[in-house]
Amino acid sequence: MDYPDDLELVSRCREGDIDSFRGLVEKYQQRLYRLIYGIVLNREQARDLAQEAFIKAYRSLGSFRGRSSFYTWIYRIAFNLALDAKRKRSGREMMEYDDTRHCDPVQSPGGDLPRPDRILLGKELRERLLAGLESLSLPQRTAIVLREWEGRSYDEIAGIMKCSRGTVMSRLHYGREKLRELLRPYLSGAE
Amino acid sequence: METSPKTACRETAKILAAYFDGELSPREAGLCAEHLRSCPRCRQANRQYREISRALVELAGEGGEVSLWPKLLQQIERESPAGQPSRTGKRFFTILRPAWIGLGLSAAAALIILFSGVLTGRQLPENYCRIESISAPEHNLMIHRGQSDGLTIIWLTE
Repeated sequence: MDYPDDLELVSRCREGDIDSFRGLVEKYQQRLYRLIYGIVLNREQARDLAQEAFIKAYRSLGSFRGRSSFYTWIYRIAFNLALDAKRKRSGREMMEYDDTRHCDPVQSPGGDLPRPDRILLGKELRERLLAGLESLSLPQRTAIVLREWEGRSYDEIAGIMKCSRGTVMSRLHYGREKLRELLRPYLSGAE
Repeated sequence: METSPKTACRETAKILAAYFDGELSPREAGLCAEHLRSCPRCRQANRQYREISRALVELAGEGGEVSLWPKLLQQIERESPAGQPSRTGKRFFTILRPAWIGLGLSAAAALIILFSGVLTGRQLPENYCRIESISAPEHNLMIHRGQSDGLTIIWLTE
């Protein structure tokens, strides 16, 4: 994704135009936040980290050379912050859920009627899915988030994660297989 | 050489995720599709990938919307001018209130008057008249000094 006008905004930011930075923040905050949320699975922490990423970017605008797009550049900042936070957090606790998450039922993909048992199944599925994501290794989960939430190609994921395309393929394969195993009772074809 | 159905399933399983993502070469994708047509087990796995994918997309939406700007601005304001990039130009004039600008310009005017003759003791010629001006964003200062009537007029305009 390339936004030539971002360079113009960056250039104006450097000259002290704070409104241009606001333009960049408003353009990318949602995507950045969602990426971080996918890694840390905690809304509050994701918001703080997204903010930190923008502050870091603002302080470092002088070093932005424009070789990549602004989004790719800030994306990497956010991505590294999220991974660091996740690693630190994983060291402290085995599993923690964000209790501010919505409790809206998620329909079982295989289901078609909003029957009470289906709604319960939806909630269970969501919890199981979160637990599944938590149980993946960080590289597996990151690959899945980049693919499923960001729609990144394998080559792009390889570039972001600094690994080969084959490694991306393997991470997605094993990650999905693990999720499939954990979610088996909720998927089509289940008894 | 023919591959056994079991081997074909094992081989397909390895590339099924990439097939699902549309990341295989046309040849590989063709082989995978061919196997899926004849294998209900692998077909089911492919279907389940799709279901997981849909559930993940739903989950992504749970993060909700964010609006980071108000807090970001606060933080930037707190950190400046130490933060980068420097906003010196803009900040300088937003910190200075009009009253301060007026005082500053008046002081500058006083200095100009002094240096234009008083301090040096130089006698100004009769009918001497000098006009100095200083400009700053949104403020202008103009000084008129005439020797004959001993008047010094200072204009401060916005």
